[in-house]
Amino acid sequence: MNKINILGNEISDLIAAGEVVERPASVVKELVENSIDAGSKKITVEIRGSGAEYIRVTDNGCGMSSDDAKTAFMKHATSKISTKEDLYAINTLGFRGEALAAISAVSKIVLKTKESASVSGYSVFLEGGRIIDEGEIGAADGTTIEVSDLFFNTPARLKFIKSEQSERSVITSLIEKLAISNTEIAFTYIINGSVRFFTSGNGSLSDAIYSVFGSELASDMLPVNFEDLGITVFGLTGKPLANKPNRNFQMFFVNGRLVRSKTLQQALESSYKNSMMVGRYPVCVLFITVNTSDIDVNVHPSKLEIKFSNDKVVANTVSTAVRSALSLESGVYQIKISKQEPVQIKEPENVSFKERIEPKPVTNVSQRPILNISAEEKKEVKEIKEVKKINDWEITTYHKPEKHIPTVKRDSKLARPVYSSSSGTVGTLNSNPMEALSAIKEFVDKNNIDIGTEKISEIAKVEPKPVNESLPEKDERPVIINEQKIKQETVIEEPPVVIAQTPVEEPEVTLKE
Amino acid sequence: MAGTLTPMMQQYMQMKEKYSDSILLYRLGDFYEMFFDDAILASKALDITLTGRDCGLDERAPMCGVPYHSVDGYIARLISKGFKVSICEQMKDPETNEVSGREVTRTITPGTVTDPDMLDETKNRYIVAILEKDRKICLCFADVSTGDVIFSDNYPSNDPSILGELTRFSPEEVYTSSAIAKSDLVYAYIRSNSNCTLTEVSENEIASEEDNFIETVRNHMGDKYSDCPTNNELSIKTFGFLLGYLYKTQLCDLRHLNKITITARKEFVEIDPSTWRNLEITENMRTKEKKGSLLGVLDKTMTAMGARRMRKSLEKPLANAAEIVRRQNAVKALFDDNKTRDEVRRLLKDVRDIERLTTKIVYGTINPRDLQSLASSLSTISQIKKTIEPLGTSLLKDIHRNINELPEICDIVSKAICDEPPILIREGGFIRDGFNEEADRLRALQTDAKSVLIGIENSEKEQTGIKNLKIKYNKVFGYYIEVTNSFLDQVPDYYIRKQTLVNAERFITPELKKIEEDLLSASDRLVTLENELYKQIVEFIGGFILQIKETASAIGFLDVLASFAEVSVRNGFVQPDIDISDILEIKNGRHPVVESLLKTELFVPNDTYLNTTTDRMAVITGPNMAGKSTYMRQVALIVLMAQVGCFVPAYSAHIGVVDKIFTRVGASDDLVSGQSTFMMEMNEVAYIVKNATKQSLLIFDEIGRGTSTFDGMSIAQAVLEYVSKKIKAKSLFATHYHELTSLEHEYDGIRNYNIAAKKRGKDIIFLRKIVKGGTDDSYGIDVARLAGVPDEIIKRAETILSELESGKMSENFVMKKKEEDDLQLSFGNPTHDEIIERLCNIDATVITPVEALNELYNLSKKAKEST
Repeated sequence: MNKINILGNEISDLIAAGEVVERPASVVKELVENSIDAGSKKITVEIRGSGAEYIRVTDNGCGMSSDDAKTAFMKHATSKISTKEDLYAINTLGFRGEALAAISAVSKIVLKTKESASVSGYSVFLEGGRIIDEGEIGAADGTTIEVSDLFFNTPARLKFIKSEQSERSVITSLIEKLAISNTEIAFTYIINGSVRFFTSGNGSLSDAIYSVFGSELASDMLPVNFEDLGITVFGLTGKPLANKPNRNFQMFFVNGRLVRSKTLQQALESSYKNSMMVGRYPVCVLFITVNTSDIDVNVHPSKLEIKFSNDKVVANTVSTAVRSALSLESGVYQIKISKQEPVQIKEPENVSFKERIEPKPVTNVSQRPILNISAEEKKEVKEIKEVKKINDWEITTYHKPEKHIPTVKRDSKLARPVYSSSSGTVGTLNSNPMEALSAIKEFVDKNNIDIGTEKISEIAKVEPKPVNESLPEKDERPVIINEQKIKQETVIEEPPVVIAQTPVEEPEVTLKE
Repeated sequence: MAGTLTPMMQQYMQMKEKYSDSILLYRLGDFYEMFFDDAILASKALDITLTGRDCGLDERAPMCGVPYHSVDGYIARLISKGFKVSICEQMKDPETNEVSGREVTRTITPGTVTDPDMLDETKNRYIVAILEKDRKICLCFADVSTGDVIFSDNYPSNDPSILGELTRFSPEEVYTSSAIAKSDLVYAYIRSNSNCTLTEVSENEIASEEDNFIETVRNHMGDKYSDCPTNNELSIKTFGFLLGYLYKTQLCDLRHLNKITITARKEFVEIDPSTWRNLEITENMRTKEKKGSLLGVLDKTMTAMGARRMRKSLEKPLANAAEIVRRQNAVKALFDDNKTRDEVRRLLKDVRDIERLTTKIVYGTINPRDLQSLASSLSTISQIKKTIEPLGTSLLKDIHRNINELPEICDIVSKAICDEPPILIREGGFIRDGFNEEADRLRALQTDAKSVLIGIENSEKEQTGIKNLKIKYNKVFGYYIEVTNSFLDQVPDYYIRKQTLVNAERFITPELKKIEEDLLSASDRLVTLENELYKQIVEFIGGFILQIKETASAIGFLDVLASFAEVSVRNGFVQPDIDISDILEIKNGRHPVVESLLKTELFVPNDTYLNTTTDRMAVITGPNMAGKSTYMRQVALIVLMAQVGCFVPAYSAHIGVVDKIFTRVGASDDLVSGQSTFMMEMNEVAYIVKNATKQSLLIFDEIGRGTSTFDGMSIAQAVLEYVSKKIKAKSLFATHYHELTSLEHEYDGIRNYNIAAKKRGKDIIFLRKIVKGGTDDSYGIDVARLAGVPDEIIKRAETILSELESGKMSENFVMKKKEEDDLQLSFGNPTHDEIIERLCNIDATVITPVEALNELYNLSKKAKEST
């Protein structure tokens, strides 16, 4: 008795489709990636309900000819690769030749497309994978695909779709990532008839983040720009205070493709190890480029997972890049507090965050632990900045990609203890001292750093002063920052100064604007 | 025996004589009353009961009235019906508080409404004064609610631009002499705008007052007279004429009417009223709504001032390339900088209509809450000023400079007005503590009084030993001491008994009465003081009127520019190249309104190329409904948008500025004015041909409809030739006479295009693409089939068509211009036989009247020719 049947095409299509088309979000992803590969400059995504009801993706890319419009829906049909060699040199997003066939197998599709060379466009209607109508139409250049009634012929799969809202949020999250990773494309995202967001497509990453996430998050992100060993990491990473309760705001793009990778995630979070509370996660939008031969994208049908052949190197590069960004702030004045007493430090260098919560009496300068960075990290951090030692002070200056290099002035006569941060930076200062104050306070509070009995207000003061002038014995504290335009190669002339606080006095502080 | 009027009615009649052209609201106590004819009109208009009143005559005078506290709504209704309303108040002697005569305090006319509740905040409301001298006419428009004054040019008396200007401003009231009101153009306007009220003055009156007009203007403007943008005598006289009327009706100083501008013809693109309608610039033709018009697409302003300014900008596209570029640069700065633009728009949302608030200041009708919204708007405005500071373009710098932060106003309002003031100032209660010593004292007195009373109550309780003695208040006796019957024996002598109740008795004491006096007078004095202080505050703020208006104007303009930028980002518009060449080149242009209404499809874009030499005229043929009209309108709208300073819906555009835009689009019978379709069309064509210049843009959509085929085609061709040869302006000419495509070879500068369509079996597919070349097919029958016309008719039509085409009638429709004005129709050589044969082919039972007539015409012509 034969029990094994060879499944007909229809059924095997449905099964295969199941792998690729898990939920409405997968459909959206496939379609939008196709639009991107078609060279579109404007992509509109519209969904209704959970997406299963209706999805539309309209682009102004190269369009398809009338023949292509029909073949596209066949299995293993793709314009992206054609030979075995191509498979290992993939630089388009879609390539497997399965997506459209799979989607059409489980939905009703209307495709309208037009190439710029032809006067008329072509439209194709499919239901469950079969063409039920087709013909010439008038259309604009590009392609519009409308997918309705997803999973109409696989009710079981339909039941699996979670609530409307959760499906929608998955799709939204996906579109957000696509919009941010393709800033030269103008995205418009419509839910149930109203525009959720739109990006301008002008190439600016911060504009895209601004349009998608709003002005608050956009202003709390720092630029990342790092290269090492053929791996480049650039993008934006959030300041420690811009943390979120989940990982939804972490976006990693490898060679332009959105991916999920534990390697990258861990690399990112390690850089924030001691400046973020448990349960809170940093935000970032990072673009990593590696040699195409060092990655394998063909891991999972949805192409989200990725494997690196050189895990550790990549992880290291990324975490270095992020850490240097956290200490580097472009266009903004920076306050840096560090006192290095390699000789006198009693505490181990790798004091964990938790231990620092215990308040320690401040008695002697020398006993204060300062830069709580591991030796390895310190080394890496040093590679980016210039470190000088004067007296018992370590003065660090930063090279910045832009013209601004913050200098911090100080009078070395004053020996004052400092408080340190585990990552080397306290927070960021703007030119507005009030904000500086609150930023510092926030950081201190958040991380429960002990600064003795001093007021935060002691720490900051704004007033320009030349280096050689001696400071009054009383508390009028020295200057914080002066912006000096210095060429990138040269180091800062004056020793940057550290702001310190006195353990003994509690003088007044005046803040000048 | 006729009685005589009572004195009050006599007073009324005297007053009424002076205000005979308006409804007089005569204040009697708590009501405004209307008598005689006014009453009859009002009771109908307002749907209130008509009663009567004794007036001393035999019959009762008809009367109806409205309560004074709700009079505003009734006034609004009367105004909206086109009446004028004069308000006659009882004057109070400030000392004795008694009635001391009556005066009209204000006449509200439809053109001079200032109450924001009666006004559409997105539109200005104009009154126009028209004066004529030496066969020249000048129009002077004024919006009393915002303080705008606009002079027009001096037009020759029958220049149709007058109608154009009137249509563009759409004033609600026309103030002019009877003669002018009867002139064609003004009359046409009044007829077409049913909301418009006409206020006539006799010529004699004007003639006698004429000398004073200039004086009036001088007095009004004071030392700013030299700032007047014109010294044209007629214009100034017209302004004076209007001012006289305004002073008479508004009865206040009108100093906010100080923003005087001139609509110089050359500065702006001329758009005649039918073009304005046809292009659906501010309202769509079908429903007259803003949605579906260009304004609906471009107007994303956040303030009322912005909305009004946006409308004005669209009404006056610039004709000067340099000005356009200047505006464009400002839009570009806002386009590029998303953060700043978003921030500006977010702040603009909190700015109230301060332009109309200044009017309230001048009229003295501003209330404490208005003051607060003025102050809060000003402080938001100073934030806006900071936000736009980094933007560098010259226009934005101008705007930045013109924004006055006026901290003095914010200051005094925050110091003087409490947090949640009442709307009315009548009852006081809006001055903040600490602002004025006396007010504080009086207020303390009031609150103290309560404790004083309690103190008295307690002391009386102690003194008399009456434990449940109470001090209460009522309107009849004021404050009194109430003692229950059980304690009556303990009542001391100095209590004066006032009232006996069942269980108690009420007394007063001299002490109590004195306190009462103090208290009540304190409240009164407080209210008076507060009102006095309020007046001072308003006067103080009134000194800043000019600056407030300047700021309002700058903010309104900023709002418009930000709106342009926002719409351009959202809809993907690009910056066009503007210059003074004659080139009009658009790549992948789209119709901004139609595009915005498409839900799931993209608009099919099309290119355009026109100049005044080799490609002057584009003759477009193709089936109906295929998109020819949309295409031509989109070209006009793109030019308009570019010249307003906005970006355009295209891939790229190079636009040489035009001076006028004309359209002849659509077939609409104007039954009201008694003109048929064809008549209207010819009117429009005549107007276009007379007024177009080489720099204009002309759009003709299917000329020659509405009359017989031959006439139509003849006229179409003649117009085409004239425009192409004599006027040489850039034009688009859509026609259903595809015979005209042969003209491409006859004359230079004419190019054929057609709108692509494909037949698919019995269906037509509209491809919506404009391609080069003429077309032979008309698709008319196909469209009819698409529309659902029954098969029988379609089949018959096809038969007739094939007969016509195969030349059975032997008509060759190629028109060749042999001599100067000759149109030659070359027919075949009909013979008697042919005529008879044709007659035999006619089936009189199925032929339609139109066809029969056509046949008859043709046959008779043939017959005549053959003899």
